[in-house]
Amino acid sequence: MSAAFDPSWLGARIDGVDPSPLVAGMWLVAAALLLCGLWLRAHRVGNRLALAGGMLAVGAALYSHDVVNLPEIASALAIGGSIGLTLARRCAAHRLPWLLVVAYGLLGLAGMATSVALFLNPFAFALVDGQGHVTPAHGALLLAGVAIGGLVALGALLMLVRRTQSGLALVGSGAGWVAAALGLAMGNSALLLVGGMAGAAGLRLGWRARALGRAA
Amino acid sequence: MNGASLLPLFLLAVAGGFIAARPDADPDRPLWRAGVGALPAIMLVGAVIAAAESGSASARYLALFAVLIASVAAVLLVGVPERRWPPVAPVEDDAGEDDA
Repeated sequence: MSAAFDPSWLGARIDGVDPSPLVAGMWLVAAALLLCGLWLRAHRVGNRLALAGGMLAVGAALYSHDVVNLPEIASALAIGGSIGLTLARRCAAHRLPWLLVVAYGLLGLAGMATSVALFLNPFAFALVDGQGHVTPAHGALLLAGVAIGGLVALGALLMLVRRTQSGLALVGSGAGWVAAALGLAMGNSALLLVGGMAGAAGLRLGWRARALGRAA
Repeated sequence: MNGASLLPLFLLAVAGGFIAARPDADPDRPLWRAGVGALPAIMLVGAVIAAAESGSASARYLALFAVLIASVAAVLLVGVPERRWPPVAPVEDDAGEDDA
């Protein structure tokens, strides 16, 4: 059963890159940290564990790929992070839940944009068949990413318009499924693992919140 | 297909997420403060990978746009639960103004 622990099985063989136990380990530790964050969500440390997992996953992504435009990526990360930090610090406390709704909507848009970017650049991720066309399976995954991302953005917009927070866990679940679809298309284990976890957890939490709302 | 070999991991992750979202560990604070949002923020990784491997100009700028908005969302989803809650009520000092 040694094949079960082969790095390629763990998702290290990303878009043709040679299997690397270090990268596979980084992906798995990141996923484990995020799972711990979900498990300990009742405590403040859970959020910080999830933050550490996300940082590790971004580091592994930059380390394991041939980055052609690092300054532009770093600039986008710095600008976006600064905007997010300013909003998170300065926003009035009673408006904080709405800020999260906006964040989920932005994640939906990011999922749509990433799916279209992958579709425009299919050779880099080996999404094509022998004739250079995107394979039906990968096309369906990218289409699912665009569709679910659009639903998440639309759902967040509707929540803002209707002034309701009842669907918060469900839009989070949708963002997770988009990440899982992208992870499956790219062959990235961290996206797949964490997206699947977020999707399933969001569905369960959202379903329960809905049941509690009906009972109340 | 690259990702087909990852299907067992995916099913394992779905099961793990379903179990980890157990209801008996319901936090005292509301759901939006529980930090669950940090998980979907992993979308940032997908955007970074797409931007890193971008071949054409249109794909590059689209992926960079995705990185920008995903980083805003990721910082919000992780940072907002760290804010102090409930908000401190403003001190009502209107009553004392007349005495002065």
